[in-house]
Amino acid sequence: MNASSGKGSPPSLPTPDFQALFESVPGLYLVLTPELKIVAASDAYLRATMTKREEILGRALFEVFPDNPEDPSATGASNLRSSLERVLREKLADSMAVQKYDIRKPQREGGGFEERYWSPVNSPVLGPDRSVTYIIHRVEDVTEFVRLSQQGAQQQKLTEDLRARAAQMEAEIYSRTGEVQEANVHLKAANEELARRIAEGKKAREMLDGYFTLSVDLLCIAGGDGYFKRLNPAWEKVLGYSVEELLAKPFLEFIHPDDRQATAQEVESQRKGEGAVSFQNRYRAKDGSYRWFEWNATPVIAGELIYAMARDVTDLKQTQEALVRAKEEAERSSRFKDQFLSTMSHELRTPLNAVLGFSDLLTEERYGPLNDRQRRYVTHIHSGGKHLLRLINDILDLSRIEAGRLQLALEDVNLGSLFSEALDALRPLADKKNHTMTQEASPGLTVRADSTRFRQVLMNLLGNAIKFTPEGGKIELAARRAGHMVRVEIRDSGPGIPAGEQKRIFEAFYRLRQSGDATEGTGLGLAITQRLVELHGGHLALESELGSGSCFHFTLPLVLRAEEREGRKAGARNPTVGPARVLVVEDDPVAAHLLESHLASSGYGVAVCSEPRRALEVAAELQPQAITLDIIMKPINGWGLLLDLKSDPRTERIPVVVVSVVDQPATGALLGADEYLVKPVEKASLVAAVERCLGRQGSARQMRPILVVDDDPPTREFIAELLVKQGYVVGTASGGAEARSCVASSLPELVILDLVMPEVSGFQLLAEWRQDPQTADLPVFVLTSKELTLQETEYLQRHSAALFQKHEPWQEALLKQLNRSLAPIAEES
Amino acid sequence: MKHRVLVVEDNPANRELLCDWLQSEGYGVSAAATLEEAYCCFGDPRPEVVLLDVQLGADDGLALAQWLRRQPELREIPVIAVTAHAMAVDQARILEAGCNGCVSKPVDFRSLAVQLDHWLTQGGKVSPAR
Repeated sequence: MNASSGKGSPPSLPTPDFQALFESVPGLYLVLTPELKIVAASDAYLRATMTKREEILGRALFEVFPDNPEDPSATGASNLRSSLERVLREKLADSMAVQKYDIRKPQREGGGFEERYWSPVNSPVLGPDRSVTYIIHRVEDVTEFVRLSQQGAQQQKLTEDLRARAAQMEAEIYSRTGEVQEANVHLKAANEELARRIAEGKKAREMLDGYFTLSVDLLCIAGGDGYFKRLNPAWEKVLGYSVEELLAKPFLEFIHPDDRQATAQEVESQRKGEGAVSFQNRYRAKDGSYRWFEWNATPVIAGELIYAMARDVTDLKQTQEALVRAKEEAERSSRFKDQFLSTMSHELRTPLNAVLGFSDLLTEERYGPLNDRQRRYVTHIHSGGKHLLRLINDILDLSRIEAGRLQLALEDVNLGSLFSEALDALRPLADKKNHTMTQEASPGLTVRADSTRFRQVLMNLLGNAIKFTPEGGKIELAARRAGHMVRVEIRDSGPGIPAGEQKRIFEAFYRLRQSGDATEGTGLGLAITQRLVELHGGHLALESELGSGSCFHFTLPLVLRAEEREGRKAGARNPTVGPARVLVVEDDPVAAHLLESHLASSGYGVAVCSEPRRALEVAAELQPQAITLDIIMKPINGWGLLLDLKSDPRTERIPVVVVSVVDQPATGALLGADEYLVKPVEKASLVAAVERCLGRQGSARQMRPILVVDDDPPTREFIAELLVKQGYVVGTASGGAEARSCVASSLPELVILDLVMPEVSGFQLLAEWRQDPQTADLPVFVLTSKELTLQETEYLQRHSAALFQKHEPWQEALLKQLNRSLAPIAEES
Repeated sequence: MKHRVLVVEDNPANRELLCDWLQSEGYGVSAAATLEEAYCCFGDPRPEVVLLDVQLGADDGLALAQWLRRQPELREIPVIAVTAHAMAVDQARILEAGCNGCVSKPVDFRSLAVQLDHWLTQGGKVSPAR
């Protein structure tokens, strides 16, 4: 017993409480089932993860320890899951790298997650069948260590880098020695090169200096401090100060007080680097006078230096101002003359009224019979009065023309019908003297003219022919085409006009010596006629020989027939007709070439005039459809030329596009420029300006037709033709009923409506249209020859867009109104 | 029955001329030399047409036409302006002031007769659908 007990088995100890032991181990342990449910945890683990045993036992691992939802980069849970799956699969322990796996803080400590770093190892516990029965998850909380090493890592890295670099440098120094020797050779070559370059640079600077010194333009470099830094000698020449004097004071002190603020603003925007600008200001010269400078400035280094170039434009400016003043003066005196003439005419008419009226009553013997002598006297009084009246009317007419107050209402006039009209009106006079009158005009010959004034011209010349040709004479009125013009001739079989008087007969109040008998004329007829022809762009001349009659003739611009217009568009049939011609007036050949190529490539015929002094004559001769005009030219500048072009009857109607570096559109407009472009000019804006001048709105317009309603075929066709020529699409209706169905079937853009028509009148149509909501807003222009009552006028003003009377010149007004009414549509399309 | 015409004209010779001619043409005539006088001429019997000199000394004769157009009882009375102004702008101003027609001085009696006939016998009223 003893022996057995001596050798004996160790004294039996009580079985340890393994659970208590496990729970008390200092390490952080967790035991999981293969399904990753928590079955046991050490106290240390619970403390470290801020959990309680009763809260976690039996629960799924990742339900208890989810990823921190606020850390989008959290990988702790997925890494742990992979490791655990590996353990289950391979039945081997798996050590994981240090993991960031934030821990959920319990609600009592404020909730949320706490940043933690862990070093986990997962080991399998295998059963008798070598299947995994448990996984032991052991971790170490390495949070503190990680934090410390994060701080340390940076420092350590620096130290290591330094050490490494020092070693590298040592190595490099050895290897560079060779390179330095090689570099020395290169350096020597570079030094020689540099010396050569410096010499060249000196030469270049000398050249630049030469340019700077010799330039007639005022060149300067100004500093942001308000002082000039460098000036060329042109300044001394223009202002009379020495360069030193100009450099000594802020430049604003030399500037006209009124221009200082604007200049300071310009300098400020230059300093902000706001690109190149051009503006004008005045500088005081040493003699106290001021010179106008036009500036071009470019900020080269923003805020530091401004490189600027100025040109002395004082003379140009003075010419300009003088021209503007002269023009204003001329306008004022012209207005005064108008006023004077109007008053004079009124004052003369009042007494004439009594002279003519009472002599009329006496002639009619309403208050008893007159004896022969009394009747003769009264007749003298009456015809004297009538002569005075004609004089007044003619003087008024002539003055209006000379003052440029007579506006021609140009339209296409058919010569055949106008000739017949004039001859018919004068036939009674001709019959009295047994004259035969003949007319000869090729059919369809059409000119551009004011029909009223053109008729006046014909009546005057025919009237003279009738008057001065002895009884039984022959008078011919003829027209024929001569190139792009029409030549009109009035030929008589009268006594002829002596060569010595041929020129003088166009003077006011000049009378032929041979016409000694009491003529009724005022002596102004031919003077007026000549002016009217000139206003139309023609010239009235006379061919006559004593004993073999006289021939007065003049030319007017021809209007091409429709088929010729087509040919003109195609540009093929007649090279001289060709596309629209533009005259480029420009003395600088480079600029001229540029404008020419811009225009030519856009399909315009271009002529260049490089001598401004000849430009007016060239324009008058060439009759271009538009002119481009430079301003700074020599020997005469463009302003004067512009004024000449706009005051010469031969050229005044030709649109002018100013193309200049001078940026003064207001002056241009005042002197009559139609468009104003500042150089440099882009092709698109140049072509657009020319297009605007030519008024070619037609092709781009996409609009419904304009309906012309008139029962008189010639009138209807005339209106239609007028509109077609402006590029409008036109439909016609020959009466009210037709117009009604036209509008009902397809709404026109606008209606031009006659009032008096058989069956359905214009009034009735208008009333119908206004009641129908479909047509209530249809624009209607009324064009009528009817004398309107006040009520009718009021009615029409309410219900139509415009009202024109046929017995007044209406064409131009109608086209203008049409353009205004339809312009918005054209812009939309 | 004689048609009654009011002549408003400040120049005595021209006033007498118009009155004499109208009387010899068979019209009943009254006359006024100033605007003030003219305003008093629209009692009974009322004139059927007015011949109005546009410039009455310093006064604008058109004031009478404008005044007439504002009187409900008188607005239908036709006014024919008689003017020595020859400009087209003057004519426009005259028609704008409410005158129905216009004859210019020196007066052509034939055209005045046509105008009077138009306004008196047709009443100046034309049916719109004519």
